[in-house]
Amino acid sequence: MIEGIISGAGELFTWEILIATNIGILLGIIFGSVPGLTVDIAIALFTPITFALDPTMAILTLLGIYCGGTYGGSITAITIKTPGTPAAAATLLDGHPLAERGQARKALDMAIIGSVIGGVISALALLTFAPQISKLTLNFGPAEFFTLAIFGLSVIAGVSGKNIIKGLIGACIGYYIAMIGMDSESAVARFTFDDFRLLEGIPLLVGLVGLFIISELLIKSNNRTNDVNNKTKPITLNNDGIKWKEVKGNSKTLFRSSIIGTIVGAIPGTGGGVAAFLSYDQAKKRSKNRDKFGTGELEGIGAAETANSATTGSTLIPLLTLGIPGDGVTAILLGSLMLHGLTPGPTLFEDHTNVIYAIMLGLLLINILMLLQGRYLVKWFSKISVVPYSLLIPLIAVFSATGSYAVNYSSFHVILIMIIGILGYVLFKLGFSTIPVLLGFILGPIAEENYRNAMVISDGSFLIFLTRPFSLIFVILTLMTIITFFINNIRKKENGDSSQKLSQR
Amino acid sequence: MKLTMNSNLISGFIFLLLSLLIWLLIPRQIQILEGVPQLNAQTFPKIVTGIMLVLSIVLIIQGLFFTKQESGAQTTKKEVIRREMNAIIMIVIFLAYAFLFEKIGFIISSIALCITCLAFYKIKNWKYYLITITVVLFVYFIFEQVLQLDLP
Repeated sequence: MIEGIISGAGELFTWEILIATNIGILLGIIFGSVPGLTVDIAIALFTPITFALDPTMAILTLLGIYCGGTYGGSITAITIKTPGTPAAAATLLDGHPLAERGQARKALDMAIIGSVIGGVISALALLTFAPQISKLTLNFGPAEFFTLAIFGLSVIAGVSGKNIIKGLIGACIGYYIAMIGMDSESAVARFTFDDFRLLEGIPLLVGLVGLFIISELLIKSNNRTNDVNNKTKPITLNNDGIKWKEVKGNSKTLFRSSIIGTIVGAIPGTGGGVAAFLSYDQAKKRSKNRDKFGTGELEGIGAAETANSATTGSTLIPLLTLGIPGDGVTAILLGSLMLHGLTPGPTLFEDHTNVIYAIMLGLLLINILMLLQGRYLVKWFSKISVVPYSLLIPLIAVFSATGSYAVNYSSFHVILIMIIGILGYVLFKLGFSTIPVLLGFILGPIAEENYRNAMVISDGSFLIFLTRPFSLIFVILTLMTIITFFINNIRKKENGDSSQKLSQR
Repeated sequence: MKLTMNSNLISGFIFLLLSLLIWLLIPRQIQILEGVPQLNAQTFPKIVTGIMLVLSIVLIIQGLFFTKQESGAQTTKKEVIRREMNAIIMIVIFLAYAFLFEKIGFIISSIALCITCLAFYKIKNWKYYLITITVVLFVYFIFEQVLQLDLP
């Protein structure tokens, strides 16, 4: 591990990476701050642009976007009562009331300090645990990889929509998209409809851009309103920032929230939003000022913001070691990693030691750089939310088309992103989430390849999935996920839960 | 008129038909070589299609017996049509852009896209048109000169 850290550090500390990471953080904060833009869109949009960079630089830029975006969501939650990301919804509870009392600067300072503390502790957890877990996976064979892929699908399919059946159908659709093209084992064409352009299959990037950007633009076009003139007045920031004494007074909460966020983040299918609310709730229960929660309590902002940022490193533990994304954003990151030749799993830590350690150390660096950007550029960030969305739509479309074209210099890919985008839009209208589709797209082919290999090894016997210990564990976990989901759904119905009407995304 | 829709029932039927269609198309669209063992390029697609077929039936049952009619937050039929028409216009704009991307070149097609989109959103301020055109030219410069990627 020590050698890994040394070689990773050598790869990390270059001027180019420092600049790229800073740009990533800045972009992330911008995308996190503009209501309507999301971290999902940002990562999908910048994956093709980072395609020409070397893998370490590219992934660190994208991780900068991820961390910056997670923090950026809190800026608009505090200043204009609109969380830029779902994970920042808990930050709003105390952040906005404090801003309304004229102390927006203090709220924003608490948010950045909490984000950085959570992010650093989570990055340290990643650095400590990921290499150990990856060693466990070294003995995995086709049976384990197949059941693992199915487990990954069931976890996310269950949490990314209100209906697990729709999630699983979405995963099937994703598999069909990935299936198009030449079969990797027998080299026969599948569903190409005699069009030679489809023989090479649909690149991951094309699916990513179509599902997450184009479909989102189409969804947004439902409301054809000119938002150029209805500018939200940005909040003015005074210089009354947070004092060291106030940070120190909340240190216990910040530390506890970091631990909560780190643990929640490491469990696939949870995400920053769950961590933030859980931690906020704990802070409220344990605080002396519990009655003041919801009226602009610094402790509340710290608890929520620290926990949601503390998921950023730990979600990468199952992602890098097992290839299981923790939430929607990491599902997109999984695609980006694969595009850069960094397929998660046991071989990743063996074959790309330098890059992986550079990425894990880089996450620490990102959090430190984010502190500097958050402290000194906060005045500008608080004004970002006034950028009209209608101005961004054509620009995002142009970026998407350009990035997809650049994969293979093929304008056919530009047509494909539009078609996949339309598919994503139709699915949304039918109440489906696009995240299971992406997972089916990524994990489906992995499941197929390993299923075929496992069947060859076992001579066609399904018992191979139950006789190997890790494989059996994944089968049990998959069944538990599905059963738990159904039980929760039944309970919700019994309680007459009105949250059924919540949107899919 | 208020619009009601049961998305479980509708999507259940759509995906039931889709899975039947895919099942029928598999032998035509995936030609397997003679003498290939039982486990071939058709196996997994057939399994997935079988799963989707079962899931669609479950969704239909859910839709018929367990789903309340969703009245889409007081949405009227007229409002739904208006919203969907907006998306259809945007789809046409995007598809036209995709087809023209190579034919008339990146710069012209992208500028045309920006102007059309801004007009779609009824934006009259010329500054926004200027900003988007400048960004298109900037993107072209970045891809061609910095990233060394040729655009049409």
